[in-house]
Amino acid sequence: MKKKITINWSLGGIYIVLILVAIVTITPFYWGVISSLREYSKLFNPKMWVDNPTLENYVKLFTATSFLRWFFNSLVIAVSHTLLVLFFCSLGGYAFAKYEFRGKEILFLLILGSMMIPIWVGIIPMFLWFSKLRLINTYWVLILPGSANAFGIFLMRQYIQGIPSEMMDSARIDGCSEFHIYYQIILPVIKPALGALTIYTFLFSWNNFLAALIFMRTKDMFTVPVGLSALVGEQQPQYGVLMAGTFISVIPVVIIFLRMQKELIAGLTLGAIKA
Amino acid sequence: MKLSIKNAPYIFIAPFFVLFAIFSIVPIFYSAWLSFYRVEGILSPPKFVGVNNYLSLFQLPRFLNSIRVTFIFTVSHVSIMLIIALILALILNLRIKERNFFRLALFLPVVTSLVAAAIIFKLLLSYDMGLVNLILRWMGLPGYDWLTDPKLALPSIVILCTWRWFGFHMVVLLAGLQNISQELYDAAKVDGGSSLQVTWYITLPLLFPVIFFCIVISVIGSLQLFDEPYILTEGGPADCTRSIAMYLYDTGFLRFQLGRASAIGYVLSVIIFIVTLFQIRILGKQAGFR
Repeated sequence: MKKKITINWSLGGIYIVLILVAIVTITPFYWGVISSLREYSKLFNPKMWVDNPTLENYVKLFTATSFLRWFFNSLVIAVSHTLLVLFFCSLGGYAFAKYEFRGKEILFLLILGSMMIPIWVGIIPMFLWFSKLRLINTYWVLILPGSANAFGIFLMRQYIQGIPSEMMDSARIDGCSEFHIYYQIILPVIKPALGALTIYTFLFSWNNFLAALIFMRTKDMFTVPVGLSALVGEQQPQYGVLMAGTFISVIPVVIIFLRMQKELIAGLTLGAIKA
Repeated sequence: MKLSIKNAPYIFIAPFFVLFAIFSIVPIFYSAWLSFYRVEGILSPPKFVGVNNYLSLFQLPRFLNSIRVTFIFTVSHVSIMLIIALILALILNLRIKERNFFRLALFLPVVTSLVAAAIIFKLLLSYDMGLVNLILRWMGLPGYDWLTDPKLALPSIVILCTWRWFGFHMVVLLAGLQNISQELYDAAKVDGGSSLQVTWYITLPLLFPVIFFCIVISVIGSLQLFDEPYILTEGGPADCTRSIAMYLYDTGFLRFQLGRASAIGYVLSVIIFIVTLFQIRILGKQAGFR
């Protein structure tokens, strides 16, 4: 009898810890949302709730800033980058998983090694070099770099290795071309892995800050994070408007996360545990 | 050209190498070249100065300060965050019914962008608009200038980064814990081990490779700290939060000292490389790497 009570006590303690931590992780979002619903004058010495919620900050966000344009830019960049990553990385991962060729091991190590290079080592001349290539202030400068990346190729290789090779061999006997085998046999069966890579890549691109900050030079080409950070840097930041923009920028990410959390966590642990 | 089983794999991996050459290799070599030149502004002609850019860096108090800031941040952030992540992963690994709900709630900060998180925290920690001071005042304590007090600015950034990232490491550690076979626990229980003993002597050593992975990647990330101080404190007050990367940005993109900034890029990369190598040497053996 006594033992049961102690167990319940510790279980209760565990739940209290978990609930407290969950409150700590959720509260900043709550604070951001209610701040976006406040009038400017009510931002100071605030309360825990909003008395007269107003949408004026959202109206200002869409009329007085270029937020819609930034949102559009971010969307175009994130979607195109993700599509390219899916194509290049599944193709590369397939080659490493299912073909034998000279230099395979060394080339694979080289690709993995590229993960170790921090962006900071080349960031200064990147600006000069990309202006020579006429890429500065274009979508391409955020779409192309990293569209064939080590993480994606590694993830795809891990997954494709688990697929039996017989299907490919029989397709070859039937006279199927190498690209058709990839396109018609491999692609359909690696959908779960593509799902994980999609979320991961989209999140990364949507949230990417440094490259967009450096390579996008005019207001109409900013992405959402760069645009918001420019608003923070203004003389008197309009926090209500900022919170409205921040809240809207988080919505797509949270929707994707809630819908695809299984794939996200599976992809993350596949990459981490196997590495 | 027709694809055959011989040339197909080369064509399939070619995109990586073409893009890598254009977007990484060229800038890396260009940067090495620049780091031996004195370049003031984009239009002025570069002047060869040898290794002077590197040598002079180590006499610059602001640069040395940025190294100090970066290391203080890395050590405090990584240790605090991983201890929290580990404890929560151990808790969630108990058979808790609502595990999925909590895993979801605690992972949410990971998917929000650093910029969004930093902006929210800027408001949260603000002196007269922030929730943190509101709560402190409720409890009868004074409010603090979290972002402009030299003593509190870096801790504020540690708080933000820990909030943003602990869920990621918690999920990775939880996956590692679920890979440990249940039989080992049962055997230990039969032998009369208490749950704390089992955790300490069995779970943690078996989990160490995963912990090691978390340490290595979070250290690599922390040494490149940039987004959070850029938004939250702009490196201030008085350079208290100016990390190496912040200093590089300042030197290259605001002062246009391109040669010196390139040298900082190389020094930062060498620091990351040495620290990672050091960890593999010291901790890697226990983790079963070589």
